[in-house]
Amino acid sequence: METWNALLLGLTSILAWPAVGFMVLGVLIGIWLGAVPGLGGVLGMILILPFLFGWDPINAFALLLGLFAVTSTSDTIASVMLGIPGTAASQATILDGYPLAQQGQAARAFGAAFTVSAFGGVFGAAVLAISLPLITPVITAFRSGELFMLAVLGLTMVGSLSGGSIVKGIGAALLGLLLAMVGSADTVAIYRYTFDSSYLQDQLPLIPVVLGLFAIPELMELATRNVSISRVPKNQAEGGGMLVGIKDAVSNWWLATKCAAIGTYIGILPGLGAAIVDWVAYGYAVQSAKDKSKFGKGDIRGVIAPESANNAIKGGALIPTVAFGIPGSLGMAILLGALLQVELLPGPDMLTTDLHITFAMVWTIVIANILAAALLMILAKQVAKVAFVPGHLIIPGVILFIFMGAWLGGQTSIEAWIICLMFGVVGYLMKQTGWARPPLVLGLILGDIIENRFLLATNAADGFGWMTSWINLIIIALIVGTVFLAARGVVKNKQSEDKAEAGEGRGFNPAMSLPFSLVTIFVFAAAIIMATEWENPEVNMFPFSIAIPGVVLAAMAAFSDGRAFGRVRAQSQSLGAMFAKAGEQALLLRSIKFVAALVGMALIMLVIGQKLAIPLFIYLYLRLWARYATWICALYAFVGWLFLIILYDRIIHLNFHIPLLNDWLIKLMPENWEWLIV
Amino acid sequence: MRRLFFTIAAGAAAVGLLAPGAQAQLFKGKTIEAIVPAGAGGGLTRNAQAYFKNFPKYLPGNPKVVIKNVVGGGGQRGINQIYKTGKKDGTQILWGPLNLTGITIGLPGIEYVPGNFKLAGAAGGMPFVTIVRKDIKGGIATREDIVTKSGFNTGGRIPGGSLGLFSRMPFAMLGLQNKFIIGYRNQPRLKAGLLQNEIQAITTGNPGFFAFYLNDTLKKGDGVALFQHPSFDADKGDFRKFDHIKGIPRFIDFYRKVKGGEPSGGAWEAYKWQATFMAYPFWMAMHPDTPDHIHQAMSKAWLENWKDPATVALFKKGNKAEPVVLNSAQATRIAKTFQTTMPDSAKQWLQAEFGLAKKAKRAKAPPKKK
Repeated sequence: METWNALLLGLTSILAWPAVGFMVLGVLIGIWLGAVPGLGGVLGMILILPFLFGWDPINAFALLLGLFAVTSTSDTIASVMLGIPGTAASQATILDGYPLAQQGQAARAFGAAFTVSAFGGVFGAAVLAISLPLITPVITAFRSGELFMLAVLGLTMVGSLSGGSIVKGIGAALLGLLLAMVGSADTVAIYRYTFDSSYLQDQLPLIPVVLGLFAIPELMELATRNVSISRVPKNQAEGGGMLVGIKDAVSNWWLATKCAAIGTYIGILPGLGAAIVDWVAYGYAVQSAKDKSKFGKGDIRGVIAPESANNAIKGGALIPTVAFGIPGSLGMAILLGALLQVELLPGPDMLTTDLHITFAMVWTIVIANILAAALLMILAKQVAKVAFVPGHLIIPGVILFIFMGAWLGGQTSIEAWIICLMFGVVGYLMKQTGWARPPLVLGLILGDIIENRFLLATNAADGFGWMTSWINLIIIALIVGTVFLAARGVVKNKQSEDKAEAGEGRGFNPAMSLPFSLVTIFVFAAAIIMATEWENPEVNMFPFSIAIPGVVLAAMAAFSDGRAFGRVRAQSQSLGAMFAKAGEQALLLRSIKFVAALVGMALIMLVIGQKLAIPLFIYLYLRLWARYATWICALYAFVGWLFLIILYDRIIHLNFHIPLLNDWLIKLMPENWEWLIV
Repeated sequence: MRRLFFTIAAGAAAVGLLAPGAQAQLFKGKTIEAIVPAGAGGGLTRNAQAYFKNFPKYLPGNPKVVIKNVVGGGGQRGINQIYKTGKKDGTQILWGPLNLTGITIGLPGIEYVPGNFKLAGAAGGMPFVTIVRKDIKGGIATREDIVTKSGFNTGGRIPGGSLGLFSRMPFAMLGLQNKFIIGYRNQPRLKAGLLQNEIQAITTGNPGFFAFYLNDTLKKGDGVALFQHPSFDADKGDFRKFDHIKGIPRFIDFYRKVKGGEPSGGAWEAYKWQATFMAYPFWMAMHPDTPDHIHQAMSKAWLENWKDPATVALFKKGNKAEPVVLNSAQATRIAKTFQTTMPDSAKQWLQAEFGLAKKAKRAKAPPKKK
């Protein structure tokens, strides 16, 4: 009865003024933060946190949770429209969301995504409400060993994400795992693969890598092919309405429910984090589907699965945060900070004397998710029209958000831009050469968890006894089953001679593939040589375990590419003609020009800073590349500059780069107005 | 000559009159960035928010202060940034712990020389608390029972971290065999490990004790707070006494009770040194080339804000106690002398603890100030 009263009191508290107003405000801010690549809910909460001293807890959490709960709904916009993850939780949505937009079906993708997002959010909140008194056994059962096994299980999704070549898919995953080894070893103060760069002392930051890997190749394609996002003219786009998407969501309700459950339970387990949830849900959707042929080419199930899971995780993640003070992700760590700031203490009080506040949080998640989905559905029709706008008009604005997003997510340092650009080139090459990009990201995210948890489990148990817990035995069985199913899928694909051209990991360009595979062999081999310098097995065990099979797989890929190279060579008049054709197919020259323009922007930024370099890039791109009228270019550049000044400087208080001409530029401005340009 | 004298006198008077005005405008219209070298949700940031809420009114010109979290390098990146490329006009300051232990024992990745910073002051000195599971190795009825236990796991965040050291040093002095499981990275993960019985002992800082353990693990009776580790007052030659953590003895008192004498050896020397020099998590530091008048203004504001009842009240919300506050001169003295005061036995103990003895040659020495 007390629980029931607390549930009702929580609802009435959140619907009372001003809490309801703060919640709506939070939802509006959250929609905005989720929609802009590189911002996200964590940033919003960090900005709001300092103002919460002395606030009533219900009001504070109405604002914070209203904001945080809905970023995973609105982040779909960038994933679908631009092929760029709006936040780390919507990476997998791009795999099928963006192809749908390219087919003129963005509205359909939105309809499905927003429906299941609302459903997932409500599902996660419901589990949160029900599980609160029962959660202790779950949390205590999943120790480091179990988390390690779960991460390995996540890695087996590679089979579903590899596209055309399983060898290259696993190779890409190993490359991702190897990249996860960059930085300080966990147990000894030794740095690995940092090349004496203090920037790399931690890990390779995920956001610049993902933005580079996925966003830059898509922008390159828009710029070089001079097309709009939708390759289909507006009047020829069929079956792409939002209602169709909602119907898709309803007809796939069981998939949405299963993926919401996956999201919730990944959220409950502290230490896995939000960045893997969409990949696991997507991988599950592919593996459990009878007809896999359309995944990666615009299958609506590829949108439904991750979008359902990434909203559900927030309800799940709130459970250990309020019940034990153990946040499962960075966002939850900040919510925990807010909890303490308004003088609430995680623990038994949140489940007894303050239970109505906990339920108010649950209701906030429920109402915010439904409200955000409704608002976004109203907006979606207009947003979807962007798919038919000329690509040249989209590129400069997106470049601004990508590079500032990379800056923000990459520790506000020039290295973040370098990494973003490097992985932009890598992403382009992977796309051209049949190396699927998602396994690399999956490896990068999971590598850290796998190594950290393996060492903790093994050291704590003084051996491998932890492997025989009943949970681990179940997970091992799941791993074996998943690998078996993936292997069977590979054989089936070979037998059916699946030669689909579209989708991740299906690029075919042997003249570029062979050199890329050879470079990959070199990278793995160099990693082995460097690892021999570290004597401590806790430092070198994982690098060896990753790089040695990496060399083998890269060599197998190179062998396969070599044979394809030979076949294509035989059909060409000369080696020169073959390379010329390969370059033409990949639009190599124009792509190099585009990358050169981005590198140029980065170099100019070093001299005059972002506030001038980015607007300058916008102007020059539109004027010289897209040939727009001067006034359009100037207006666009001015709007870009306003964004930098208002959003990134005045609101976010971002650390901008201090340019070489800083002192000179400061003198150009009246005192205290320098921030307008540097 | 007389005219010249009057001219100079008038000029000097003008400067004298103008100077306070100029000083009053020092930060007018400016925004000061307080760099916190830790994550946004953590105790360091919460304390920064509490401290900086009223700080601007003590600075000439009443500037705006924004908190920026610069994470990375085990907390060293933000500090390195202030030292190497920080703004020199006082608009960028550090709020966080200087890794004096790390520098002394040769941890890599530290690129600053503490004594070169312009320091406004330092604060902290509040106790760490060591907690163990109540069912540790057969269970304990009283905290003194811990001396009969061995073979348990102690959790640590990162190599060289204070939380791990304040577990390991007392256990070493008590002669308790335990395995150090390092890599939990933050306090919530340590707490999860404790809850899951993967580790059986941890140490938490003062705010973490109130935020995570007092109301949960200890209230439920799942854990026992063994002892607290307050800072060491070198002038008085004794550990400080705080009355906000009730019923938990200082480690030194616990040791005397169970061992009947004074501790000695490398772990003890390391403990005393750590409690003296690494007890201040809140240093306010500026770039080494910051002009003196800015440094002075900042140092003055630092002390005045700590005297503000509103600041103290906000700070006490999370910490339940007032910190020990050092002024600029005291903080600078610590920053300039910490390395020479670590006994060799303490250094050797710490290096062995972190497996650094043979790795020390790999670590780069911090650059000298130009």
